[in-house]
Amino acid sequence: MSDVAISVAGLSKRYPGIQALDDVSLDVRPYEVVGLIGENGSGKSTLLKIMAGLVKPDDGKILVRDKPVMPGDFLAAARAGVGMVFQEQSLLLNITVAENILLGCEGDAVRFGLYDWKKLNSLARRQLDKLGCDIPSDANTGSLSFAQRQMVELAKVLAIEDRIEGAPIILLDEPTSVLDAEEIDTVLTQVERLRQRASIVFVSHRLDEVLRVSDRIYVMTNGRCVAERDAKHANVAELQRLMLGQQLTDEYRREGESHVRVGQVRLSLRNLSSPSRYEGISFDVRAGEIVGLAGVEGSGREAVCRAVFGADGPGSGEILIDGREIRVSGPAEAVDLGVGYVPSERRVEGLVTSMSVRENMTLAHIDVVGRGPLLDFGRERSMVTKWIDRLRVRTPSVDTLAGQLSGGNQQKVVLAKWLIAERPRLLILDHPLRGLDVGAKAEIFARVRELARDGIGILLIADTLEELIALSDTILVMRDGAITARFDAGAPPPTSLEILEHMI
Amino acid sequence: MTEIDRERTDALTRPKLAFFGRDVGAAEIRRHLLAWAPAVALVVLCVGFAIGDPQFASTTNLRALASQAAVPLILATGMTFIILQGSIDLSVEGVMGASSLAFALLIHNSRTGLDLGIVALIGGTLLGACFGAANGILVTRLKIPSFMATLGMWSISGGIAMLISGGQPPQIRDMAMRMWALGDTIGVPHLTMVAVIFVAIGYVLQSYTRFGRYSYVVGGSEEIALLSGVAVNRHKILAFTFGGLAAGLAAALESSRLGLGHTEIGADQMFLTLTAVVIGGTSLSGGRGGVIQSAIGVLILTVLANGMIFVGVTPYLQKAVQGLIVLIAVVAATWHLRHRLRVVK
Amino acid sequence: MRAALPALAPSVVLAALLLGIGVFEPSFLSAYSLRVLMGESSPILLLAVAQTTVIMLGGIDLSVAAVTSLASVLLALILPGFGVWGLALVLLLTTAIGALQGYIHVIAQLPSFVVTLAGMGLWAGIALSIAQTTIPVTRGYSVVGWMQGSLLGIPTSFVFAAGVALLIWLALRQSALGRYVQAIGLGETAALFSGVRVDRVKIATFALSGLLAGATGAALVARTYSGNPSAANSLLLPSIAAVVVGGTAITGGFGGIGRTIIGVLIISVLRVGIAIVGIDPGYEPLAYGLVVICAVALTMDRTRIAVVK
Repeated sequence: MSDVAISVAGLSKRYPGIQALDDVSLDVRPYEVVGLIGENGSGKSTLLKIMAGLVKPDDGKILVRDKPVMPGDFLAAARAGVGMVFQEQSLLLNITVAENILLGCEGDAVRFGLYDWKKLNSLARRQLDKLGCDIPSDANTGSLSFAQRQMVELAKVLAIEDRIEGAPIILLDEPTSVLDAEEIDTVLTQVERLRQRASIVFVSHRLDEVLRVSDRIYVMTNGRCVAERDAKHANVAELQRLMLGQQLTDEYRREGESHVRVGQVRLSLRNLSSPSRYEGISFDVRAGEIVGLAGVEGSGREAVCRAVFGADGPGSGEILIDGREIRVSGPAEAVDLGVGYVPSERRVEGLVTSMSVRENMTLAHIDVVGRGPLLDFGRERSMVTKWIDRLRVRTPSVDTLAGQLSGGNQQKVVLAKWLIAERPRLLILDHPLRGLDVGAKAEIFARVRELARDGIGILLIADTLEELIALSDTILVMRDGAITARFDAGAPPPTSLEILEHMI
Repeated sequence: MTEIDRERTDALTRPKLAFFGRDVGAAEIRRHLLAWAPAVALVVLCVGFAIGDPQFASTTNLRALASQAAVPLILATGMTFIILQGSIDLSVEGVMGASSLAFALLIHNSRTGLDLGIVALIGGTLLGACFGAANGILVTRLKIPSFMATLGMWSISGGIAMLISGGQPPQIRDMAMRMWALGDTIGVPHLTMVAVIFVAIGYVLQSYTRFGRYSYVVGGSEEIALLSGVAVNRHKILAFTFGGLAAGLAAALESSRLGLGHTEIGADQMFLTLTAVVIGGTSLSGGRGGVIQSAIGVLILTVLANGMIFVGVTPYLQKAVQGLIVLIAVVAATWHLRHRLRVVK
Repeated sequence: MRAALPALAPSVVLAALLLGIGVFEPSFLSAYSLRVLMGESSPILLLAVAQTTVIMLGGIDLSVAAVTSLASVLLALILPGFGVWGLALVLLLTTAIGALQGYIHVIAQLPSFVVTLAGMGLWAGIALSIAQTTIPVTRGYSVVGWMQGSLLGIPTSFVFAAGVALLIWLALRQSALGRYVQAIGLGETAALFSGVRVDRVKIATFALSGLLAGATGAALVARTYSGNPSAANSLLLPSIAAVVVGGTAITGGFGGIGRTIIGVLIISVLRVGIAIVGIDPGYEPLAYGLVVICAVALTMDRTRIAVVK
């Protein structure tokens, strides 16, 4: 009988254009809490999903109590005793608490398809009691508060205990990211209690939470497991450093740009607020300036960018473009005003993958290739070809389907889409280097700098702090919906550590 | 081996949009109010019409009302489970036609020499169930959206009805059956009794069986259902089969009442049933509502139709009113789900 | 990507059908019978064109037949008194109806099949309450009567319908609107994020559908010399069948008017062929239902629908 509850070895997973996991191995011992930390995109979510059997890895093995479990088979994982609590709740709001807790495994509370409600409720009661929770089993789940539902989620995962021998393995994916302080405390206390009956993997981007409940900590970065530390003896600064990894390459070194680029104010945000997402955001982006937003998931930086583009409605506050206050009710208005948006979800939001490169490039500003009410295909072809050359997009032809290009080239097409008309006023880049190989990253990098030199204002959210520091002229740090720090990226540039402090 | 692809799990692990889920209070109160609205509306309608014309509340008229409500009650009960799951069934009218013909030809009739009595009733009902099962298979195996699959099935079953009928509606000669269908006991029409029993069965199914409870689950979120190991496909096929069964039963009963098998026996029933289910409070997007709610919806529409005649409104306007009601009810039910970036086809 | 239905398949099916029926009954391929065929297919062609644009967006319009019936009834009532202006008024009305449905679809974010299903009941009900039976048209008939003639031996109604189809095909191919429709069908989110005014495009498309339904009503009045509230009931499914069998996927984005024309011909040949070969007309609805189901199953792009309801 080995000393390990669950272990994974050599896990790798590649998605188009990105290596999500690269030869990851870790193990969890019985009745231990293992914390998993890392920046966005470090692979911790993918790792958890593979352990739960929701995603099939390209390589690697999963062993639960020394018995191999078929990867990618979530029912097998569930049978082996692995349960996951998702970041977004997986409860159904239209059925009772008891039904949610025992969904799919009602056992003999349901015989020949008939429900014995008393039995079901008492079985659920048993799980809730483990948590010391007083939510009634027959309550309608929709009538509970968010924090209460989080409890029910935990109870649901705990129900695995009664179906297997030995302790269940509970995977918690950011269980506290949308809770307030008091609720977080409740959840963390529960996790500490649960240690007595289960093995737990706890993922959170908040270092203090992870340190509080974990016995051991694994640090992930760029799809790799780079360190393992004992929580008691962990050095916070060291952990933070480990989270960032060492990636500094020449391409990212800032050029000694001495010319003053700042021109008129392109974008001005005044007291922008959206309830429970961000509050009191005010800053300016000038022509030729690259403003980078740093922050972890939930900091509100993506929401702010989307508000500027009109993809989300801010609650209150003002957005001014070139000094004029605007009210965007949708992306269309923002585009008309000269704003461009390079989204992080390239294949869903950036390109219509089943349309050609040519059609994608002209989609946002199609009037450029129009002659009266009709399209001038000749002009379209020549304009598109011009931009393909300019940005060095590698594509067999202008009529190739956009979905067939590599990630880097797709990104160039998205960029071209905004540039093809007259120079845009403001460009918002949301994780523009995500999923690109090193060469492509360098190219996009150079283009973005070029754009700034041309006088476009740029708002940037980057995947890693290195990229942010290297690209931005000004860095704003956001945490929990507010701007917590502002750095001027002149010489000397701020260090990642300084920024990280304000992020977490 | 089952793998959930990345997009699906991403949906579950991406942080929720802010307006979902945090604040429960107001939404719950609104939901409770809305739950009672149809019942209140029914009462108001009855009282209103009774005041307008006391004849409305006479025993004769009440009996007529009960009689008119029988077939829609059965259909609505069958349709409820399909809609609870988030699907829809547009094929009711064709299935009714085919079942009516089958029933009429199996029972003592003017065309064939068969005289199967109650077995004919079972036969007609089973044929409906078969069509329903076919719908379910098209949706689950071929992955055709339910509105399209059942639209096609409407045509297919309607065509089969026409073929069986051969242009000459068979007359039912089984007098015992006919008398029973037209008769009543202690003032309650027999068909209505059957309908009430059927609704009761539907209620039991919805509250005490896996089929019923899992219909709510599938309608609530198919992803979560799959992740919990629920046999979603099987339950979908069951729901469509039950809907078809209801259509078959209703057709057989109505044929007994009319005395013949008729291809158009289900005319306008699809809209009526749909409107009743929606107006009773069962949401078209699935997961909310139930058999009792649909029954109340049926009563509202029956009272409305009946009362409109008393007041002198042309019956042809009914269909238009039904269409309008469906529209308003659905808009009201889903208004709060609107979002800038939501994609609706 | 796209489910594989080679673009040529519908044409092959059409050829096969024509040959098959021709072998069985040679008179089917005569000039006369072909002319009848074309005349028969005009209403379905118009409706199918309407349906095609909506389907390319990824939606569907279940109300086209009801709007056509309503239009025929209104025309029957209005033509005697108002002539050409009456026609214009009715067309304007049906366009507005289409736009209204599109507007509700967009504003309330209701699936198009729900909105148009409700519309189907609403407009059919109104048509029925206005006129319970056929209304014959004598005076003012000439406003639409020209469709019953023939041009160089080809029925005018077909020339008209084909002309409309061609016009719309060109418009879609050569205009920004057409590009937008395709983008919305293939990637609505990306289209939104590219600044496409999705709402307006959708409303315009449904409005066009309404306009064409009105035109179909006029064609029916021309053919039957009357307006009838149930005239178009039997046309809904064939119009959808024609689009789907022609190869336009209901998931949106793929296909187009060209394919629909082939689809319409297939449906019409099926229709007329059934009668000629002597099969019971009861098989017609059966055939349509089967055709729709098979064609949808074959052309759907399942990779783009995560959950099938």
